[in-house]
Amino acid sequence: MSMKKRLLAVAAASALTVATAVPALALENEFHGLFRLRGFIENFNDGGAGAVTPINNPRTKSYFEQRARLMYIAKANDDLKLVTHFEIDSRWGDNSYATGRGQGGGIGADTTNLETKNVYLDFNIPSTPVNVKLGIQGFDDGYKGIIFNNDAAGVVAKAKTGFGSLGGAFFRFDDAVTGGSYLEGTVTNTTPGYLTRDLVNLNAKFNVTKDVKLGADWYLLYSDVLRQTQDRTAINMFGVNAEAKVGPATIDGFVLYQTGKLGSAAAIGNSQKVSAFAGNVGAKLKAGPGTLRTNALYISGDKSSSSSVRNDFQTVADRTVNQAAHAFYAAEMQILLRNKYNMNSDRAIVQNLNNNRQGIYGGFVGYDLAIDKFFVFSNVGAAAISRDTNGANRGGDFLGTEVNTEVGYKLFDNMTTSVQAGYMFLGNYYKPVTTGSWPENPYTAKVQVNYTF
Amino acid sequence: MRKFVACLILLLSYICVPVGEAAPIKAYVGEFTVTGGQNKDELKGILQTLLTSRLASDSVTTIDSNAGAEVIVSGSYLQIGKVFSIDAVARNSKGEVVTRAFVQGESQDELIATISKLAQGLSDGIARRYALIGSSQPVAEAGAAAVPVMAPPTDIVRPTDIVKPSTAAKAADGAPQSDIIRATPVAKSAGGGWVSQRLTGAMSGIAMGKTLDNGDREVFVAGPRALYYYRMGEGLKLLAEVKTGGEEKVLGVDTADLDGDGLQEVYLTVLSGESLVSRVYVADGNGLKKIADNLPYFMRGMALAGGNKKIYVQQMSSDADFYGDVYELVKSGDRYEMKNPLKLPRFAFLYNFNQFKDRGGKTNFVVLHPDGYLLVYSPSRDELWRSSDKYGGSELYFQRPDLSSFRTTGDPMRWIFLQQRIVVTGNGEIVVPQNGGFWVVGNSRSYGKSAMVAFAWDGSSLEERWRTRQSQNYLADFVFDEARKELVLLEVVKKAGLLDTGASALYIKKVE
Repeated sequence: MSMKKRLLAVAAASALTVATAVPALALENEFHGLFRLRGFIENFNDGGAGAVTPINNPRTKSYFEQRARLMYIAKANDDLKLVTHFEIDSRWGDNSYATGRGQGGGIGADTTNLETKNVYLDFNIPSTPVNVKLGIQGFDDGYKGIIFNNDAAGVVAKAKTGFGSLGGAFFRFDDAVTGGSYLEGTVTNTTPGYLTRDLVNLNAKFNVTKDVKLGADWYLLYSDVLRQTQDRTAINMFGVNAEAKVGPATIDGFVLYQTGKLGSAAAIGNSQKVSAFAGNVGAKLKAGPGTLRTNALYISGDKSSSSSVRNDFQTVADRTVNQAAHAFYAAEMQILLRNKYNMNSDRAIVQNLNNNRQGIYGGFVGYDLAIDKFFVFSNVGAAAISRDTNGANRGGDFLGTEVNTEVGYKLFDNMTTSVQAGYMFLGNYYKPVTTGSWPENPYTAKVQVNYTF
Repeated sequence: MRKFVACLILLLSYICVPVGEAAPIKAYVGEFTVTGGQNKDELKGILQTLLTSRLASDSVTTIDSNAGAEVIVSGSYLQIGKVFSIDAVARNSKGEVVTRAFVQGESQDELIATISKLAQGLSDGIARRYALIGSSQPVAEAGAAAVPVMAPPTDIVRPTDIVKPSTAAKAADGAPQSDIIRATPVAKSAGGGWVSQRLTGAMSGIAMGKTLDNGDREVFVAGPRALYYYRMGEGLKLLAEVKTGGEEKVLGVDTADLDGDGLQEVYLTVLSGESLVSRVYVADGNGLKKIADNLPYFMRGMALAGGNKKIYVQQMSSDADFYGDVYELVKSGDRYEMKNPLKLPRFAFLYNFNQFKDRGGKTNFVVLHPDGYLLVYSPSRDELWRSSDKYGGSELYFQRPDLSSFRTTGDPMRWIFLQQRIVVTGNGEIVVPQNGGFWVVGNSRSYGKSAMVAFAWDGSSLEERWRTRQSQNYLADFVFDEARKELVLLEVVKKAGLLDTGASALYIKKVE
């Protein structure tokens, strides 16, 4: 071997030695992800998102949609990591050779459809107990998702304390340069930061005992997106949540009260006062070979959109008003409320819990049974509107009763296949006011393959 | 005169014939270590085979097993770019170096030619120097085992040229100085160098019970939903099994004699849904009798800092998977209580830590980081050192509902992986498994090879003392029987699949 080659070999070996000697200081790579395929046969979902109103003769829809997510976390050290999360959605046969999200399932595929779901920095401030997440991220509101359960750009800080934790968050939901706002109408914002919608949160959690926890929050939902045409919105939310393990049961719940002002097209020049309420009680109990779950939810409503005081609970919508940015997945409904497995097909009878100012109250009971690789999850839920907004009463406030089940098998530790089915018996709310036919009861049947890692 | 010449010829023949017909030296070529290059696994065997066949000469004969070998040749292959180097060392059974040789080449085309050259050099060196250094008896007697299968030879590998500055290290160095220690045949050490029959199911935990008068030992093996009680003699004999309920999952098994009655209790950690319902059994030689139930603890048996083995526990809360401090479990009559809390350093929880004493008598923590690095913390919980390589690694996990993270994970359940136990011996050695995998991404873990590694603290860092030969199986759990100097390894030899439950086996490796 020539001297040059020997030197090269020595240099390469030295480089290898250095590289392998300090991996603890090098980037640690972490990957997670999922793949989910759902095949639908149903009469209310149509591949889109938003509330659905049952009709007399809905067509049966049958289609497939899939979702893949890839999460890459670059860990610089124990206290600093960059989290990125990407998503690719398609409905089989929808489109190809195109550019845009939620498509590319058509023949030929080849679509530019990669969505960036999360990009944020997650770090601990040295010598403090404070963790900060900075960037586009998901958020756990502490109220089972009914305030905000989506991704957004912001900063979340949390400090562990001897009694529990203290935290704060700021999210910028809207800073629309052009285009539609989350409310009706279109705005043009030529000055970034001028027309915005923000969410602010301060929270404290107290570990009273190992099995008893209390939480208190203040949220501010602020919007001046439509300041050029109506008053600003500034809604304060005060909430208390609790969880306690009592014998074999775990009981949890929350109370949220909203106050402040709501800018509204119905009261131009004068914002409306807000006085609204939401509450929940839930329980989980080991019963027989499985687990019994119950949840009750109340979301206040209002008769009129033009009254000086609005009593309907103001929820966070996406940038398009018909798409909720919140959910109540704990109910485990498939038709009545949003289901946790919903992807681009995300319709429900009550998709936005504000429910067109009507609010909602309901009770939900489920039983989960898992034996080795088999599982059966069954649920029944019933709900009614809290307030009738138009006074017509439509024969009643009762929205209906849903029964659903999911029967599945774990093919592998992290891959399940299941069949889901749900049927909703419509209540008097859908009774024809005068003449005409009742709308058809919604139903759904799905086959699902879910792989996560 | 004729008689004189005849006597001279006869005398010469007595002198010369033994020299001319000296028995060839029996040499065994071990598997090579390969660094760099492609097809590493294939190359290990190929190099071994090539050298084995080329090493044979008039003075050296090669054999297929190290049982009976007088010289053992170990080699390494290093490739950087296209340039490669093969280094080999021949040692006698005392571990003394008989000869060394190396060859190098500039492309794979030269591999076979260089191996021949290496073999020639080694053969000459062995022939010239073996007798000078002093022969020794073969280290293992072939065919002495009366057990189902002999374990692979050369179970423990020790690095050469280890500096031992610390008391602990010196104490740990009581073992022979040879670099390679082979499994002792069963005939010489009951239960040593031993592989059990294949056990149905991918097992997850193991604990040892008492040793019977005839030398048999009680073994408790945990499966995902069962506890098996075996007697380990020439083979494993199933004495009893206890199954758990539908939603219940076994997370670990340990033994200890907490009440000092001379009987080891069996501590089984069981999770039912979101509640810990752990239980305690005693074995009576034929069956298992439950003496405590619904204990709300994770439990693990540990000898902290190489002291007495005790059971330590940690609780679960509604949101924390491992809540609060670790406590010692104390038996008072029929009741169990938590006492003597131990505040752990960062990243530590019940299943990933132990303690050891340094030369000054201070008790340090050793912890397996979530990413697999070995961490050493001072008594004040300051990080002192962290490894470059990764250790530990477990496929055992439990799940808890976690809807608040569903948007991110897409999984309604949160996965919580346990970690391999860290054993600290009485002489300060820190024994930890090292599972490696072909597919370990996120919550998808499938380890495919394993080894046991022992360290000693030199005052500044953990220094590797020895390691076992790499196994091609995932190591689920282990016991280090310090009195017998044996590692009892529970390995999953076949992963659970769609329609079968997998298979496991116990291995015993002697550490001398």
